Parts: sequence; C-alpha cells; structure tokens
Amino acid sequence: MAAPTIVIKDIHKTFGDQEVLKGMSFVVQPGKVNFLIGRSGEGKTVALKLLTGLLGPDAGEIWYDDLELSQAETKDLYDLRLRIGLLFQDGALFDSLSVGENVAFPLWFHRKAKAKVTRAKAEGLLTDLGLADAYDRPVTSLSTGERKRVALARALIVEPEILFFDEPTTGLDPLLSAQVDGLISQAQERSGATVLVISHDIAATLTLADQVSMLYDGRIIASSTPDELRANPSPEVRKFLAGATD
Amino acid sequence: MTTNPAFRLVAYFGRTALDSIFHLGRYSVLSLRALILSLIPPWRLRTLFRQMELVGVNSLFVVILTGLFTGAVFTLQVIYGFRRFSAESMVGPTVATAMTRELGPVLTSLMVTGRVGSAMAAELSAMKVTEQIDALTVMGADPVKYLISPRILAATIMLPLLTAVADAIGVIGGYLVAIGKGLDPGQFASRIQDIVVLGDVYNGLIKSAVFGFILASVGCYMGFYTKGGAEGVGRSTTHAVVCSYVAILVGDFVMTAIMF
Ligand SMILES: Nc1ncnc2c1ncn2[C@@H]1O[C@H](COP(=O)(O)OP(=O)(O)O)[C@@H](O)[C@H]1O
Ligand SMILES: [Mg+2]
Repeated sequence: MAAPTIVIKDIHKTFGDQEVLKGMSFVVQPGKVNFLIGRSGEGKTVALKLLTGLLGPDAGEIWYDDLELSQAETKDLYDLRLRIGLLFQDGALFDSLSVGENVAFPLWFHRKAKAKVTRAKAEGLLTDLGLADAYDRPVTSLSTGERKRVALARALIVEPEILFFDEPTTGLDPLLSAQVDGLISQAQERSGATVLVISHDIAATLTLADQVSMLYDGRIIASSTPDELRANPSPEVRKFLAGATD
Repeated sequence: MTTNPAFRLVAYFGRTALDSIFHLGRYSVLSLRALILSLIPPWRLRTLFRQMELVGVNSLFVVILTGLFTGAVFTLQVIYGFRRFSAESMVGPTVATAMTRELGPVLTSLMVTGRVGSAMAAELSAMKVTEQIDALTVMGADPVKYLISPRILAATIMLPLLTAVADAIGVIGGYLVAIGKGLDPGQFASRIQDIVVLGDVYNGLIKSAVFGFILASVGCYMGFYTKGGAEGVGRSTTHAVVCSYVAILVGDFVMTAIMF
C-alpha cells in the first residue's frame, strides 16, 4: 500500500460549551512532510486525535484515500492503525515497561519479528536518538526530552507509511531538535511516508515542510508551501511568523 | 430549576437511578467484552502469569493474617456461646463450616479488593489520563483485551486459591485457640471430619471465584472510564473499593440463598 492522501473536510468538534474546531478543512499531501501550526490551545492535538479515530467529530469527514473514518468498519480502522505511527505530545510511554520494551512494543505486540531482531532494531533507533544505553532503564527515570525521543523511536519502529508527530521538538535543546528534525525527514525519505507534524517551531516548519497549514480560531486560514506562507498577507499569519521567530 | 424541596428530592433520586442504570449497562458491556476477548487467541500467558502473581502471591501474607485472626476470634466467640449448653464438641465443625462457607471467601475477597482491586483502578486510570490507553489503541492493541482480560482472569483464578489458604489457616487458628481454652484437640479435629462435607468447601470456593471476577472487573471499569486528571485517579480508586464491597456482599447473599 502506498502512502495515502488524507482529506479533512469541514470538521466540527465541541467539548461542553467550548467549540474547538469550527469547520476545519485541509489536505495532508501524500508522501510529503506536512506541518500543522497554530497557537497553543487552538485544537491541534484534538485534530490529531480525530485523525487517528481516538475522538469522533461532531460533524465532517476524514478520508484516507477512499476510506472515511466514521463509516469505517472496526477491521478497516484496525488495519489503518497498523499503518500509522503516532508520537503523542506528552509521550504516552508505558510506565510499567522499560525504555527498550516501550520502543519494541509495536513489533513485540504484533509478533512482527524475532525477539533478537526487535531488540536490535530498538537499540539502533535509541542510538540514533542519543539514548544508546537506555534500553533497560525504567521509563520513570527519563527527563522530558528523553521521554519525547523514546516515544519518537516507538512511533518509528514499525516504519509506518503514515507518521503523526505532536510537537516532536518542544522541550528539546537546539542540538537535539536538529537531530530529531533530521530523523523525521530521514524516516519520511526512507519509506516515502505521509507525514504530519504539529509544531510551534517556526524555523523548523519553514525549512522542513513541503506544505504548511495554519489553524486559527477553529479553521484553517492558510494552507500552502513555506514560501507562499512567508508571503501571506493575513495579519494572523504574519503575527504568528513574527512572534515565533524572535 | 425548581426550588421546591420535594421536586429536588425526586430529581435527585431520578438522576441517581439513571446514573446507576448507565453505569451498570456500561460495566456489563465492558466485563462481557473482556471475558469474550480472553477466550480469543492470541493469548499472552506471560501477561496473565504476571497478573496472577500480583493478585495471588502478593496478597498471600495479608490473607494468611486475615484467616488466622478470623478463625481465632470466631472460635473464641463460639466457645463462649457453646459452653453455655455444653456443646464444646461442636466448636470444631462450627468454626470449619463458617470459615469455608462464609468467612474465608468474603473476608479474603474484601482484603484483596483493598489491595488489588484499588490498585487496578489506580493503574488503569493513571494510564488513561496519561494517554497510555490511547497509545495502545493507536498501535492496534485492544486495551480491553490487553489490559482488562488478564486482570479479570487472574483474579477469578487466584481468589479461590487464596480462599483455600484462608480457610485452612482459619481452622488452624481456631484449633490453637481451642487448645488454649482447654478443649480436647482430638475431638476438635475429628468432629470436623465427621460433620463438614466437601460441598461446604467447594461452594465457598465457587463464591470466591465470583468475588474475584467482581473485584477485578469493577476495579478495571472504574479505572478505564476515569475522567479528569490526577483527581480522577483518586476518585476512581475510592469508587472501585466501595462498589466492589457492596457488590461482593450483595452477591454473597444471593449466591448463598441459591446454593445452600
Ligand atoms: N477531551 C477533552 N475534553 C474537553 N476539552 C478538551 C479535550 N481535549 C481538548 N480539549 C480542549 O480543547 C482545546 C484545544 O486543545 P488542544 O488540541 O490540546 O490544543 P493544542 O492546539 O495546544 O494542541 C483546549 O482548550 C482543551 O482544553
Ligand atoms: Mg497540543
């Protein structure tokens, strides 16, 4: 199966009396690095949960090629999820497992590979992320930045063709951020995956992205290449670009 | 909104009733799903054994203490009562039937609820609020099958074993007290053999298996549907213990009425 196009059509989502998404529409380009930007609390994480079916929209459609999420059978949703790697904003690491067991979990759970192969793969990814000797450490001993990288390794280990990253570099120092950014583009190039990154990091957005969508007040107010975004005259976009670079 | 106290009272009972029906329905669906999923391969024996260790081995000490002192204090009371009409020879069988039919199963289950049921609720609700359950779902790992099924199965298997230990220790505790109180030890033991039947023991063990199911499924239910951060974790733990206690005591009455 090839990396899919994801089409988000007029999504509405309300929690209690707080209307978070008010008709969000955009297209996640297949085999490209897509960025979703927007202020904190704007609903970016909610959007990601809708895309993975963890939440249901109040109205609207989410298409993965010709599969619409709300119409999908349990089996279709299950098959789709096996193609997805997701990095949660706060890691969502399993506290009862070690660092290495966390990274290996998707392979171990689906019995995809022999224990030795799985372990070698997990150790390789951890080494790439600067956590060479962390395999047997308990997850509770990790710093925020380390948790993020372990969670990133867990998302990458199945080499999924759809990759979602919720603020992968928030809380990392510049050097590590650059390393993680490199890993994301590497993973994308290796498997030609469809990638969606949620980000605050405007510099990374403008250098890494093929396509940038900006969420503002529950809607997408701009969806373009980074160069077009730089030239976008909308005051909200200008403010975001200026605010995040200084 | 009405301020009439009578209306408010009716509204309160109505809401409570609706809430209860909602929870009971959702609880039934979850436990049934966990049960069915535990019958479908692939099985993860290691996960099951780990839970059996947590439920069984780690509760052994507290169950031994419970059995010992329950048997001992019950024997004291029985001796005190039976001396009044010179029925000391019946102390052994009375202690043994009470332990195996009632005190062993119920007190063991209540103790294990406090230790294990509450821990299950706390663990699952912590996993819920830190999105670990979402992470499982996205990775294609059904959290009900992976987290809840082994816990329920482990408790249902281990509770009868723990109860058997409590039964035995309780009778030994009673035996020691009886000797201390000057009763004939030979008679204590032989009258138990004469009067207590294996059915007494079996029925108690069956009850304890049901209690094991209750305490694990209620604990998992409360944890799995937690809302609202760290505060929610504490709340679900408390609810798990209180609801399990009530369900175990009510279930005990119903089963006893049917079985004995
Ligand atoms: N499960 C939920 N229940 C209620 N409110 C929620 C829930 N998830 C998110 N929200 C609210 O939706 C808004 C957007 O949250 P989020 O998507 O996390 O923002 P961000 O863009 O920073 O990722 C926030 O105000 C948050 O409080
Ligand atoms: Mg967020």
